[in-house]
Amino acid sequence: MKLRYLVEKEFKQLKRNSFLPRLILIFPCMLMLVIPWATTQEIKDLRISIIDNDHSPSSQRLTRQIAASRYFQLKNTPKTYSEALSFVERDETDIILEIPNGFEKEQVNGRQASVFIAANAVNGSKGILGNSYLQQILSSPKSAYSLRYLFNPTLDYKVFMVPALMTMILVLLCGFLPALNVVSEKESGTIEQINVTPASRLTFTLAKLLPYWIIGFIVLNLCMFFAWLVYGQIPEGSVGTIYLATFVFILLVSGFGLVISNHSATMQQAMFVMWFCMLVFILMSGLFTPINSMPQWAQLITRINPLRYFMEIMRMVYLKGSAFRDILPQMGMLAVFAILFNTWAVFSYKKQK
Amino acid sequence: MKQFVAFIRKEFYHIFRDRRTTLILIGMPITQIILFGFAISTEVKNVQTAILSNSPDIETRHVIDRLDASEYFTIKYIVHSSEELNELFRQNKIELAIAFPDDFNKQRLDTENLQIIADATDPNQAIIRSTYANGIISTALAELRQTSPGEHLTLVHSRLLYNPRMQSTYNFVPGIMGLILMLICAMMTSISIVREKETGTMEVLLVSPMNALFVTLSKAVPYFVLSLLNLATILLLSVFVLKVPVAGSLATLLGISLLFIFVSLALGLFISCVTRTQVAAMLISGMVLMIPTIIFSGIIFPIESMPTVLQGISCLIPARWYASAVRKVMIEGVPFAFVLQETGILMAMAILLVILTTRKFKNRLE
Amino acid sequence: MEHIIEINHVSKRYGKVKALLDVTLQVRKGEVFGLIGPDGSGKSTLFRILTTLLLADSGTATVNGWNTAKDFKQIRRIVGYMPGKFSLYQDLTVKENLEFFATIFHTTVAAHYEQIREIYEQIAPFRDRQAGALSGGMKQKLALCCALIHEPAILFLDEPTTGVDPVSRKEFWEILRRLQERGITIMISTPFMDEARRCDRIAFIQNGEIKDVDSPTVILERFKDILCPPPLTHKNSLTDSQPVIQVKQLVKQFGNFTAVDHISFEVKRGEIFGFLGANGAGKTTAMRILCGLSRPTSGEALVMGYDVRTQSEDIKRHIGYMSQKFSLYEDLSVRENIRLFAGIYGVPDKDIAPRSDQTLHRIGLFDERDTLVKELPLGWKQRLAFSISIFHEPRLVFLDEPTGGVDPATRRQFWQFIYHAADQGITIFVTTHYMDEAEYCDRISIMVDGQIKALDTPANLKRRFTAKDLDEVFQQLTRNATNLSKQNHES
Repeated sequence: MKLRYLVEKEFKQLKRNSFLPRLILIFPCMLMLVIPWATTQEIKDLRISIIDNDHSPSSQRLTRQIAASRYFQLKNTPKTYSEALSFVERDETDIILEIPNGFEKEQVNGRQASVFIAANAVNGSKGILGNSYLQQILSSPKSAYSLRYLFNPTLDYKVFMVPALMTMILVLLCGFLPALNVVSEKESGTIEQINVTPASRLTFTLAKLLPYWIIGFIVLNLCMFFAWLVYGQIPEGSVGTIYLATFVFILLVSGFGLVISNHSATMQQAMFVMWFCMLVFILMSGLFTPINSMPQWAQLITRINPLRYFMEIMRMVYLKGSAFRDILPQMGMLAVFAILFNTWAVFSYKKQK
Repeated sequence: MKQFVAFIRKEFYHIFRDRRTTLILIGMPITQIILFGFAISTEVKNVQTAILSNSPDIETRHVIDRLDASEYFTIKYIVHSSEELNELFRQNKIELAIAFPDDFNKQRLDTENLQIIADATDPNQAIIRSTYANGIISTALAELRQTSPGEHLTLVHSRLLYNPRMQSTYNFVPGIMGLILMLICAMMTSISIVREKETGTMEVLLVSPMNALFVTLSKAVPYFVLSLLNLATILLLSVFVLKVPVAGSLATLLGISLLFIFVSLALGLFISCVTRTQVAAMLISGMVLMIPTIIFSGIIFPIESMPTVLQGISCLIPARWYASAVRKVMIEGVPFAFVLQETGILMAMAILLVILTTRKFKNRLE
Repeated sequence: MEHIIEINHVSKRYGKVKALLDVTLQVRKGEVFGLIGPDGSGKSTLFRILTTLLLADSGTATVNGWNTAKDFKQIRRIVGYMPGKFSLYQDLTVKENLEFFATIFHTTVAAHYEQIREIYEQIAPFRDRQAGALSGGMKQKLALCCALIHEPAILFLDEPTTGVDPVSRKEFWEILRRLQERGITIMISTPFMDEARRCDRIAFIQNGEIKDVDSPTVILERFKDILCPPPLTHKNSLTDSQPVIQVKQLVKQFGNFTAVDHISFEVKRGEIFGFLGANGAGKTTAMRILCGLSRPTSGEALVMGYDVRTQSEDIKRHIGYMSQKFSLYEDLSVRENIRLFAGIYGVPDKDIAPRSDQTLHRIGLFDERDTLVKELPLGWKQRLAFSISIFHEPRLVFLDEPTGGVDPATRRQFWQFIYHAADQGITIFVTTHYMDEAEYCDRISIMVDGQIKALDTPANLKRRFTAKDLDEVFQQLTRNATNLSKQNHES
């Protein structure tokens, strides 16, 4: 009963705030529109220098083939390797292909022809991918395997990012905002007035969280709408499963935000602690890099990272069409964390000193 | 001079009395270097693989053994129907599958029907994984056929420049440097100045005989010191722990870093001039500085593959130019002449910010 | 006589609100000039214009011959300023704060220590404590020290003594006198009329206009409706012997500092109980224990029959509380605040609307029912906060310095509401630094250094200490204690 009045108050305050409602609407839109384009790790238009020492029809054919590929952009054809290297140093080219003298002759003679590739690997994925692409072109006509790319046949990197981005937006809005909210009541002293009322810890905490749960859902739907409108993406799996998982996740992050704010005295402190935790959580969640590539100890750490589980759920349901029973282990973990953080939040809020 | 010292001492008290924030400020570079250096990588490793095969013959076994023996792949499941395979993919248990045709050995090792199935939700990983699997399978088959592997193939000798062991380490260090310096110089400085406005102490400081601009500047000094400390931490960690050498001239590197620190401080002062509340300063530096810095400094995302519009926007982000210059000087080891463009742009940004800040600076309350 | 400050037809508005309207005023060199007026009358704006922090919309002002709009650098070099909301650095210790402010005013603590000695010695035992951990009044004293540590030509003080106990205020004025003897001009605003009387001349300002400038006696007489309203009389008939608060040997320690030192008292039903004491004597701490906000270290306290140690939630359900730091939600409207707290205290939903209208009519805020609380003047906010604290009809209400920083007429009005509540049988437990308000209480206790030194009706106390008013009683009790504790420190 008391809860109703406290929730009412939170909404009125939110409505009065000139800045927050706008942030809640504009921020997800901006992120959804910009980030997928910015974070794409698709390597297009790699700048290539080709040193053709053979000057034969087949070396020229190879050059044309590379120039026509969507991955490469033929930048120049230097005479020597050292000349090519200077282009790399000046950051004018990313990859060098050297076709040796006698390339065609070897092929005609049925022997193995060889080429030399040098890639600027300062950006790791660029180097490795450029190398892979080039190898695919060089061997493509003769490749005998059939290759199937599941779930994302056009190899669109944005498809990979969009569901994960929704996770990030939910964390930023449903994690940071309740944390700042509670600390601001501490700073303005109103929390003291609430502390002398009979409102219980649970009621107060719930009243703080409820608005952000609702906001979380609004934002989720907004994100899903944008995913469809801009990227033509609709969930492969059931929307109900996404809602259910999101509910548990929102519970979890908002609880986490409250724990931080209950332990902080100033907004600046809450913000920094939150920022630091989120940075670690996001990096260790498999958002950008595969968890399996991590060393064993790091993989163990990711097991206690709640973000990892939700990120997996979003990608599984959205892209692979996984059903509820497929995501049961992840859901279980999320539920455990949600209960843990919320219990902690209720107990760390002290009415008495 | 005495006033100046008193000011700086006071500012250090503020910083060090807030233990949690101090800990984070000092711990942040260390954590990030460890995470990026040791935990996070895009290397293909332990790819969870399933095999679909209904003919447990020696040939199939040989290919599977070869795959499993490589550090890239871990064979987790051997299944007998494509439904099972789909199930495993949907449960996120495998990332790659190799489907052998039913009578693999009888088809004289014909590879026509051999299929590599990759989970392409992460497209780059899918491409690299399948290229690797391809390579291992063809070698294995060649061994079986006892012929040379590349009968018809072109032999490729490849070499990765500057980063021969393919560690992603090399790439993120410059970005992290940009991020941390930006965080301390711009965000911390602006918040700490605005806090004085909000609590009302600024009112007294303004009426004091000290010059107002001088008051503001002296608030930036401790953050300058702190950022130097962090810069040193990052460089030492990357040289001695990550074994990333400083290939170019250390002096050039430090010079550019100082220039960037200057730009960030100016940015912090500018934000503090145009905002009135801590929350506003926090959100502006968070949204307008930190997120773009993470995205556009090339820590994770290559700028080249962004759409032109975003590449244009990235030109406005100081950290982009700094990271690019550091990458060149520290990792590629090129001389100063090659980073003239970056230096020039940073210099121009510094001058512009200083002009804007002096314009916007107020000697009075609003 | 030479005028050191000249203000000619100065006006200033914030958006639609007129803060100052055609103000013309001269301050003579070497005088103590008081600025008296209700809250929101434009005092702080005037201070800010004179200290060059704000530009006037029209008109000119000169300080020591320098124009406030153009020569701000020169002016800042010769003035000292203590803003109304003087904020210390909460995370710096007492000593560090003082040293810092001394340094930025180009002086040292040693050079002017004599000037602040009386006040500083009271906070000196806490010199290594962070300012944020001091009680409200202690912070104010430290702020005074910081403002007086240098010797400017002109000193601007905007309500410097709000929340400071009478003894320290007296010491503060002695310091001002000495500064004046050295030729320093002082311009000060204050809500205390005993302080207004100590000025050479005062200006009465209302709604941004200077109504009159003259000697204190003339002004206080001319505007006595607002500045010196006739005292209230109240006959308490409801008091019976049943205690609602019973405190026995209550102790609260923070580390090795004893804030509340074995206090025992009883408050009877229907009483107006004044809880007085110097800053840092432990009033707020004791009150927080009684409200269930803080646990006692030892001893016993029953509030409405509930134990503060184990039944704090039961206590909270049956009391009202109005804190020292004004703490309604500023971004909610008047009615929304009432609705929120009524709801939390479990007032039935259908009763809230009619009863809040009734309350608003009674306190005269009905027309402001949809105004955001942050836009109300301080006096009105206090009235609202009080009404909210008794809206759920508690039997007992705690008021912690409810009338800080407002003019006498507003305070008198506030006490009429208190009497109204008392007439309905609500027990009032109130702390205050205004001695005229202490006279309004049925019984008062005076706390010194964590102990209750006196407890009786105001009349009995005056008789026992042979004093003409409570102020004198208070001075006697706390001065003795200060001297005693000083001796203890020295020995």
